[in-house]
Amino acid sequence: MALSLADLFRQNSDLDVFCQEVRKLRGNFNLTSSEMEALGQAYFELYPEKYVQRDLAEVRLGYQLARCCLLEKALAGLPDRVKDFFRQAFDQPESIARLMEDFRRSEEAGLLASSFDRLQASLDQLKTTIDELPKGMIKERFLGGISTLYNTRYLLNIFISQPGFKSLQG
Amino acid sequence: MSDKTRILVIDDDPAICVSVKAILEASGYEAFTALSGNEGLELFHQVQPDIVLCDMMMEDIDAGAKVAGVIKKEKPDLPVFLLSTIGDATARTIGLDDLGFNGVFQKPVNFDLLLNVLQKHRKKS
Repeated sequence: MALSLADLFRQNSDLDVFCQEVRKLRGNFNLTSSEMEALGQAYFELYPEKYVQRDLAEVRLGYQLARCCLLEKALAGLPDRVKDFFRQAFDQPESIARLMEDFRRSEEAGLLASSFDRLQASLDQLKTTIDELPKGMIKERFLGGISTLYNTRYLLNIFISQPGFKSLQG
Repeated sequence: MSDKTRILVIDDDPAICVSVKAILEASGYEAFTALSGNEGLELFHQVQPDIVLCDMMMEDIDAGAKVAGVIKKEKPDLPVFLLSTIGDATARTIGLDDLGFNGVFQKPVNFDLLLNVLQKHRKKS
């Protein structure tokens, strides 16, 4: 039986290693509200929440943890080259103009608009799942995680909607 | 100093700061970011922003309210907006005005809405 994300995190508490392991799953993992709660509990076992003088580095790890799981789930089923493009774009939103310029010269440029539509639908589905979580710090970390993805999605939408890029979509 | 409207973004998540800054700059604003309430207040005094966007939970659970309180004491007319995950129902009950905020945008932020509101506070050229 496959490990849950919570078990995977308990085995790989170094976040970079954990995110690499999540990426290897290629989106083949559950990310229901129960899975989110279990993963959040595993995170708070390691980094208990404080309400004054919070350790911001630990808080940021929580956002990063949520973000990497949400993004890999949202990318499931997309072509590998497109996935790589989106990973870079979500990692470096300040460089999206350059990344888009590079990607528009690639053979996969024509796949971008349809892949982006699928990505947007997946993110919306994940947001709906997060909304089902009970109020509290686990929900707060997941909302923080998906907020960045939504922000970058907004930027991508600006660039993908530009006439020069739309003409590539055939 | 640039003629652009200057916006200070204060949020403990660097990824939020970078992405919000990118959107604001793509929309013609000059944006500055700080990763804690304390850092935000330092930058507030350095850059003299026209608008502040501030998270609530940072080094303390109510750090955003403390930041808004200090800013409003020094510049009562400066628009300060809360970017938060607190939820609409909670936002209605905590008295945002009393805390010093001019309004709240729930995360994930609806940027069409936010940019529309910011436009009303843009410096006249």
